[in-house]
Amino acid sequence: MKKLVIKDLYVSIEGKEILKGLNLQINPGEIHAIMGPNGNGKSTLLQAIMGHPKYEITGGSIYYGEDNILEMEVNERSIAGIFLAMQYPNEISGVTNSDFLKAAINARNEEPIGLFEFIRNIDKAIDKLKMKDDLAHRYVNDGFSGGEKKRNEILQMMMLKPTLAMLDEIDSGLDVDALKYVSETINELFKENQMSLLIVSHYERFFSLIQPTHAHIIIDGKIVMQGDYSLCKKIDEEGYDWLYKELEIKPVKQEEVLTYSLGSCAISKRG
Amino acid sequence: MKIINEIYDTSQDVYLKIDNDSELNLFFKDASFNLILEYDGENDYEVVENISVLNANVNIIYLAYSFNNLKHQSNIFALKGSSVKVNGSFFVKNNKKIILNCVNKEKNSHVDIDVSTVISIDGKLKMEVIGKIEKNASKSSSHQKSRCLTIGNIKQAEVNPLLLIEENDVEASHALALGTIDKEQLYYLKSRGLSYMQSISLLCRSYLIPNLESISDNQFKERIIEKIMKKVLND
Repeated sequence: MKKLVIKDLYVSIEGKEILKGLNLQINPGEIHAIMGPNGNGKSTLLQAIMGHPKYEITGGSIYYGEDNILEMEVNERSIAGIFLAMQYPNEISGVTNSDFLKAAINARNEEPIGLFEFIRNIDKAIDKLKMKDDLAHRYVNDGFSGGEKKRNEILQMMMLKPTLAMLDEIDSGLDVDALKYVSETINELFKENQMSLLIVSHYERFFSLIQPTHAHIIIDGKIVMQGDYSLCKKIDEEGYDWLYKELEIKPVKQEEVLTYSLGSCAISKRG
Repeated sequence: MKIINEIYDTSQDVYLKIDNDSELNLFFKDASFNLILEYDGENDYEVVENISVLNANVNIIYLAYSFNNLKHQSNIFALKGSSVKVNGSFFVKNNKKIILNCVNKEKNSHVDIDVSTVISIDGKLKMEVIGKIEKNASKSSSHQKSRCLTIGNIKQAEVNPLLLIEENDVEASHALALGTIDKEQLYYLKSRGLSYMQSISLLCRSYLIPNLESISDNQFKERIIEKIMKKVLND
């Protein structure tokens, strides 16, 4: 079993520094919750670990076991056992879930998966997550509702059996029942595969179902407070204001989105 | 002159494999089926087709994915009471010049064109997709969609969608998308363990395969998909 060790990590997007010296260690069998206000670097952390090309690592290191993952391609990180359930999963029209998953499973195994074993596994996952029976033949996330896309991410996680799973706001867009199925599945996978989890969410409700062993608050690109599940509860009940006061820090201002006009069309101005 | 070397016929699919220079003249009346035309010859070739459809529902599926040069002109004439769907899946490696000329000649005729093209390294494509509604072809429609995906350094990608409308009381539209691989899709696939090449081949598949959906014989469809993917992977 491998541990994830992040030291003094600096990450920028298009020249703007988002993570500013972040340190984190996740040991095998631990569940880490990440909370924090919007725009403070939670998703950036997960994308940087996975290797999104838009996120530039300007300092620090990330090791997974003996592997310096910053030197690895995205697919190599996946094969090493890292999985990211994305906040906004892509739609890939024309590629069925079945073909996609078979290719992904075969990419990490020496022998291609047998057809019957694949069907048995995907049927079990579909049943567990209460998804539609025709999922295997549908195109990847094409025409899926927001909740279906999130469940499909967990289904992929079930099929690929990672050793470190990162979930980026996987609970947003899920109804009450779906949240229950998803959290039950995550808990089962956690026990069966003895994996580690790194979970970003805004809601204590989800964490109450998963019961993280560690909790971290990210503000302005740094972990400013750590604790256990009780920290998630406190944030849910009291928000972040007490934290700003206690640590004497200021909230990060959200950048205003500027809108530009391309000019007026042929409609004349009315007086 | 041998123009067709294989014919595969089920109740709903007619398959013609064309691998030499040829001129095809086909006329269909009072029928409903898929006509699959495959261009996968070993030599460069030039093809002209004239297909007339009267009071029939015909789904014409063009498949061209050889590595050879192809010059292809298809004239499709939609006559009274006809509904013609034109689906094209083209994989361009060398030089392909394609003209799809779809003409609504008579009243109450309908044409729907959906073409997907993948242009690979050193590929050169010049394609004209023409929808023409002639005088006296009222209550007709002509719609077209063309999608073109480029991979790596291509030589040329030129797609011209044209609508020529000579009659009132008709419906017509055209759409064209031309671009390279979506980096977010590529990242998504790689994040599940697929290499760059495996991801590219899946994305090519996503362009070329949906046009085959109407083929009713699944075994035959799988054979065609396997052939296309072999070409894409060998590229």
